[in-house]
Amino acid sequence: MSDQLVSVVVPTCADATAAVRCVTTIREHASGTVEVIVVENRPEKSCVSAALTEAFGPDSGVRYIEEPTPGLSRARNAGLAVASGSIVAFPDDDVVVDEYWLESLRDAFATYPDAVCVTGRIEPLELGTRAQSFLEQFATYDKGDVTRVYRLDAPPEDIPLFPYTAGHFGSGANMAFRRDALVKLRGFDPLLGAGTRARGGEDLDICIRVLLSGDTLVYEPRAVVRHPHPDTMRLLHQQAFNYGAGLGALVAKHLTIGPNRTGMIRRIPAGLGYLFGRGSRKNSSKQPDFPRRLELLEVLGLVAGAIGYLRTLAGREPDPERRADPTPLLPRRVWSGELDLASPVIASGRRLTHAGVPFDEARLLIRVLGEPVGFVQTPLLSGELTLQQVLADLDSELAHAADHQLASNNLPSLAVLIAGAQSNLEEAA
Amino acid sequence: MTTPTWIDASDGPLVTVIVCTRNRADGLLRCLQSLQALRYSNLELLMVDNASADDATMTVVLEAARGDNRIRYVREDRPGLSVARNRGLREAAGDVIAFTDDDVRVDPLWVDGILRGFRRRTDVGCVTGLVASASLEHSAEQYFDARVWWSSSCEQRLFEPTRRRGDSRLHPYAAGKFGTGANVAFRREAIEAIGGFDESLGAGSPTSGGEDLDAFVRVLRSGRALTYEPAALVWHDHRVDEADLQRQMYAYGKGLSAYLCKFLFSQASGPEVAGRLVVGAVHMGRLARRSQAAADNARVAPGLVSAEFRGLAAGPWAYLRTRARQDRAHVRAVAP
Repeated sequence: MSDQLVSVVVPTCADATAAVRCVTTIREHASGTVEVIVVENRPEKSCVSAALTEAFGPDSGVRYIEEPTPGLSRARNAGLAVASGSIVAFPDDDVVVDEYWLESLRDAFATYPDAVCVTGRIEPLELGTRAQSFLEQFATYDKGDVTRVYRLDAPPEDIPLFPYTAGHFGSGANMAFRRDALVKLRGFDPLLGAGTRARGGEDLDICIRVLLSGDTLVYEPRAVVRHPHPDTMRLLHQQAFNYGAGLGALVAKHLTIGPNRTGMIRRIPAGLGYLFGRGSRKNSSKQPDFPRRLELLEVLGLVAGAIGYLRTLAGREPDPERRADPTPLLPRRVWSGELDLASPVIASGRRLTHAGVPFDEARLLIRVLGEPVGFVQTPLLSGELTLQQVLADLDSELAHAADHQLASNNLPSLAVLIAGAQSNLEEAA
Repeated sequence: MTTPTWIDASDGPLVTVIVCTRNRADGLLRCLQSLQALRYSNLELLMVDNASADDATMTVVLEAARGDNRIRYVREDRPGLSVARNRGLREAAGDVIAFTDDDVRVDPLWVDGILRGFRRRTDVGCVTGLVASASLEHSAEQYFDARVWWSSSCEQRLFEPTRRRGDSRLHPYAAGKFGTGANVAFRREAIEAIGGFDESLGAGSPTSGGEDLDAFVRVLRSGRALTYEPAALVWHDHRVDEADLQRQMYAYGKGLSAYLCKFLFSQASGPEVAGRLVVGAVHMGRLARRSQAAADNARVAPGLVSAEFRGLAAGPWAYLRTRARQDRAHVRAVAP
């Protein structure tokens, strides 16, 4: 288990210094097999590729890919799409990973086999300036030193508004996922995150979606990255605004298109109390000298983020299907093939994968003695394709046409084929 | 497996398969291997090397031809898909001439499907077939698959020179309804009667496309019928990269409006086309909405749909430019 391949996806915006520093620490502390993928999100002005080659040599194994459409979510999804590890970790490019970071992530996934997401601890790289200590009070990056397991059916008592107060579970600068599960969730929401009008919120969104889909999220404090907090008040103001914007966009998203819209609306009063109440968990760590200005900026950001997100959403072509689907993120991967009903051979439970990643759907051209009858598209569970499932998914028109073709060639009817597939399956079981 | 009843097992006519290719030796090799695996045996496999930059294409074809005397290699140095296809026509010996592309893998029963299309009626001059998507892994492929109907229609159709019930109101100018140049076959007499492909249209010319649509319409206007025969099946590798696909959709748009211009500006067909412009515009609007839905569904980056419409806008100008150049060079384009 300990040498399970982990892909580490590091998105960057033409910041060669940070990217090289981050990758250096990952490589230094790599235990077991690691695949490092650097995703450049501003390729037009990037020298990251050259810097990586200079720092680690041409055959270092550090992969460099480009995602030209700006957006942290898009960059992470691009990395996810090419990652071959069964675990994918997403540190930000400005962090430095701790010696035991990777090992702890691996251990956490091994200890909690049902964990889909493991978040880690984010410590300040330094706490020298006032701004840095304010951020620590403001964003509460540090989620404590106790391992926590979160599930929708076991809401923790100490976290109000669970699972929407996702800030308690972790932050985007230090997250890891089981790749297949994240692909199934269709990755990070490209309308959220740095580089979009939402400026953030993609990390909270994915945590909420993990939990809402019934999966387990684990906070593992031993998996530490160190994050350089902004050292001037100016940068801190910006960060407070962005933080608010991400939250605003997230709330706007779940209020407009989320499946749990009503649950969200019901929580609005409590949410306001959580944001502004003096004694709320969010505000309790703030010292008396904590600047009010930061809170004001956060509220401004909240409004701006919500409006920005709705603008982005409205700017897109209306598509009823998309509105019903809150996670239109990674594209579906469809396997293309054919099946001749005259000799219907699909190995029972054939797994369709490419580069280790299972396909989401299969589309088969249905033929009878070579003659095309129609297409059937069928969803795949972990890439598995069975004859029984294909036959069950034929629509009535296609089934009728197929039966006609089978009969005119004196072949057994569809019903006979389906019964045969069923009994094959039972035998296999 | 027994021979299916829809296949005529008796000896059929000599069929020439023409593949025009340029700088894609590895793709061509896969295509050629699938052609060699065809069930139908009375074949001539004619590879037209259209101004490739190096001799990789020639090497691949000659290597394959050493063990298979059905394979022939011809080099055409003037670039342009229509030019290359016309060169192939002059070289071809078959009574039926089938065209496919170097990014295609043909089904073993492809030629049997084509011949079935010609058997449907004696006046069929042209058969098009199903161009299924070889891969749908990427969103660009999914968009293209959803955008064109000939990648998924399994319904046999027959089109006649005059409009019949069930035909589009744009008939016979809704050429996208007939099929595509990646999978098309003509009776020799039909393609010769219309004078081959129009060299002012097609990939490699400023209009970038439309030569297939133009040929379909001219076959119909010459009084012959056209059938779409899904049993004539090929598997096509669509563009994987969205930027490539965007260029291709731009070229499609350009080819389409260039071809329409040709028929609009000609005395023989102008009034007919002009009378269909309003319906055509409505049709385009619907197409745009459908394309956008396909784009949303496949989750491709924005810009693919608009690329096609930018191409549409650029087509007439490209066509007129080509014609002007041809007039200066005293080359006659093929009349509608």
